[in-house]
Amino acid sequence: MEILNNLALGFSIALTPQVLAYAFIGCLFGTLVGMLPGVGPLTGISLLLPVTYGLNPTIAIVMLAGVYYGAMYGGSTTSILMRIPGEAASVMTCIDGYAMTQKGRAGPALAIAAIGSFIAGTVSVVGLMLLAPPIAAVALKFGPPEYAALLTLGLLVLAYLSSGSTLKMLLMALVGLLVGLVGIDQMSGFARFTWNVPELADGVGVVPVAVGLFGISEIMLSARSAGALKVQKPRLADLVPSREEMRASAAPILRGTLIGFLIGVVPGSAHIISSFVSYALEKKISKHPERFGHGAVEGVAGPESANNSATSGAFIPLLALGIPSGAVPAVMLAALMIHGISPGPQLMQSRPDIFWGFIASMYVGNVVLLILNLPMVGVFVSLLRIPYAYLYAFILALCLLGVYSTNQSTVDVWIAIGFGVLGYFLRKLEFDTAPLVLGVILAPMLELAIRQSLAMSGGDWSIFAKRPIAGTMLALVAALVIYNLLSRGWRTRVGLEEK
Amino acid sequence: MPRLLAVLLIAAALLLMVQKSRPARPMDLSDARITAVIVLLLGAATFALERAGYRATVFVFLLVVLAAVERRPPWLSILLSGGFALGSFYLINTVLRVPLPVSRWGW
Amino acid sequence: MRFALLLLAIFAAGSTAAQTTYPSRPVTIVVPFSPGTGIDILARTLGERFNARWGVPLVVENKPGASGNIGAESAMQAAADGYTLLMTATSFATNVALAKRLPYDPQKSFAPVALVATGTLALVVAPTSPARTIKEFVELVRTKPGVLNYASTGNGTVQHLTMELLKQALGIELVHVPYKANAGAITDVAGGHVEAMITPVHTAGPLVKQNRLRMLAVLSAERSPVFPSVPTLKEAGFPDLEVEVWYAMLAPAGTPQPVVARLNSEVQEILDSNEVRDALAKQGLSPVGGSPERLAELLRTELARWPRVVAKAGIKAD
Repeated sequence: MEILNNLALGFSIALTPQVLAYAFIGCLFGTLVGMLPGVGPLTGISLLLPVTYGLNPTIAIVMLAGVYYGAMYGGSTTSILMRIPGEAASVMTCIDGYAMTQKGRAGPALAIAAIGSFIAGTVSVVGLMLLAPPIAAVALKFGPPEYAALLTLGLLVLAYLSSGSTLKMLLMALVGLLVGLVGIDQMSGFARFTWNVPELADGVGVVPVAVGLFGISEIMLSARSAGALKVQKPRLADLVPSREEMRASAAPILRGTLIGFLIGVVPGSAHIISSFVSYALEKKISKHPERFGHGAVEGVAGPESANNSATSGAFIPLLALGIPSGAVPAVMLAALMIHGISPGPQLMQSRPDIFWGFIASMYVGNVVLLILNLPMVGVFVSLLRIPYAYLYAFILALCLLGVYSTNQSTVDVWIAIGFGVLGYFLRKLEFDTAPLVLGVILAPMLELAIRQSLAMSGGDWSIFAKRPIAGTMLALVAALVIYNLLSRGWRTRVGLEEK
Repeated sequence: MPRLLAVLLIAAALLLMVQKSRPARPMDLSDARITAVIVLLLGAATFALERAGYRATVFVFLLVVLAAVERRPPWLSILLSGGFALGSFYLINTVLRVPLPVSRWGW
Repeated sequence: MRFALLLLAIFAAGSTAAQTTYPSRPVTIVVPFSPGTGIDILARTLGERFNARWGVPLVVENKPGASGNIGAESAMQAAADGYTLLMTATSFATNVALAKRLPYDPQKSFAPVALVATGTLALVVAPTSPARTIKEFVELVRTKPGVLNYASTGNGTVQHLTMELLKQALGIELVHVPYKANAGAITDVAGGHVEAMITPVHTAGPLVKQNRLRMLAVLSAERSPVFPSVPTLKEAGFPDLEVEVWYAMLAPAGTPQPVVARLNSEVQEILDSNEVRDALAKQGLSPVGGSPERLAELLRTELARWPRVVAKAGIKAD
């Protein structure tokens, strides 16, 4: 089979010591960068880019891709251990991941995150390999109306995220949506809710919100008992996931991989919502949904896998068509072009060594990261031995550092602190904060997509129904909503009656 | 568009209040004091960050939390705070070359 | 007492540092956009070379926001000792046309150092469009005023304003569909969801080569070496419109003349090196260089031109 031949070619390039060494450096760098809240793969790749100028293209790309993957892996570490999301995509991992840590299952959580990420990464690379051109062609069909429909589906996901009253969740989502709308309106140029603070012109930013709402508020809630909290003394056996945990994770990992891949392929930043969708799905089909939020391993396995495969999925439009589907692929595109590679279908024909070397190296990168991360689980978990009284001081400093470095902006830090306080009160009042973050992420994208669609159609709302892909998705959304409303549980869920 | 959302928000809030309330526990505010302290310290640190520079700010912040709030032994607090402030600065600013604020006097 | 002496010594050391040869400590260049953007990559490229030549790091500080205003403001407030620089692009001039109030004065707050590079803009249309030449495009749009769309990277961006300029010059009407980033915009044109857009040549490059986009004209004085078959607007018989995206390095006003001169010559030498020329060419950028006066001249023309476009097109921001 030709693919096997090509793969062999790719691996022969990827497995040379030089390439491996650079892949390792990239992954290490990426993991470090990913662990820092706020600073993400974009910064990491930009930092290393000039360094790659003198290197041969395959090595350069391999190293940069390593940074990207590494950052994804690294983000889950802080999410699980300290409930600080490394970036928007790791928010869902915080919830059950940290809960597992509190129950002493930090090791397994980290391990499953790593394993899930690895499987997802590998499978999605295979998908990338086999399906790149046809998928890319379909991805191109996604215009603003389809995007809007997809995001509406994402909104629906909110409904499944709630662990308590639907009304409370709705409230959170609305707050999130409103917060997400802060900034200069794309279409008219009017500044909304910015109160003359220039830093708010581009919006509030998911990172400060997420770090504050999840990380800082957590510390505020736990600091009181810092003295009394028993220090964790994990034994070696505790580091390894139990058989049940492994079994419980298997299906979520596969589902997460699929979801992430499909969502990641869509050009644009929709891939962020893949972890949210995965979490919602797992919760919905689980036999014990009440376990979610308290350490359900499915809540870690699914989202983490979705994350990683969305990453690979995001590369498809880039490699197959030369279209970057987000900020990170855009930098990768620049990097490729600087090294004289013009991605697109002819890349496969004209420079098979680069194309297949890249694919092989993504696989290799995943292996490298697994090897890097699994033993580190022990190291990370032993961090938990530090009495919380010391630990939380450093975590706060870390939050400060991370949020500031994203945009060199103290305004971001103030936002994080503000949301930390908000999160504190919200959790006291038993509000689930995840929908808020999702709202912040979705609002600007959804509104822009809707208004772009209307601009395209000249104000005609039926554009959503007339286009096949968008129409189908919206019909699906409508069907799901109606189904939910009609089902018996509706009145209890809305809170109008007691169960 | 935001007006629409704001209206929905208010409606939802009202609904929530109207709903038959379960016997609500009064909000447990026993940790309010330490939370307020944390917020104050974080605020001060944020304020100082670009004026006093990263290292000084983080050092003082950590020192206050460790020594004053948590009452850990002073020598240990100084050591840990200094170590973290300098270490993280080195890692992020020098190795990773992500700039961190440096005050006018170079620190 | 000893502590006071130590303090004194540190102060003394700090002040003498300014008198030693420039540069004696790390230099910061503020990039008012997020990492990974074209301007950021350019700054980092320069930074890497400066590093190699001076032995002192040139650190890139990303301060994105408000189309570059935040970074500009921060650079303006820095000490004018040559240790803080600003990397900026065409939006520097267009922002002036759009904003009611700016926290800085574009002419007076900054001292020009060097014009680093320029990029050519082109008009591209979707592969599904019936227009195959710029003439056909203009005719097509004239028969359907206000029906066809064009994409841009956002309200007030260079692409938006350039298209408005084009519309005014050619007398055509297109509906504006703004996007948040170039990636989304160009993807949708390639997908046929939007009819046309103005975009830098190098961004469109890969797609044009795959026939997923059609380049109708370039907005420069001469044809692009990368796409020699695409005519300039003038050649096609239309008013000669030349709009370039430019990238420049500035320093806070009052930076000493010798420092500016030194920086300028360094930039020139870096731009002359083959490796950098090559890397820039692959991104579709032409290295420029030249004296600070050349940059000052460009700034003057740009600052005069854009307010007129904005006023005529009735574009507002804030």
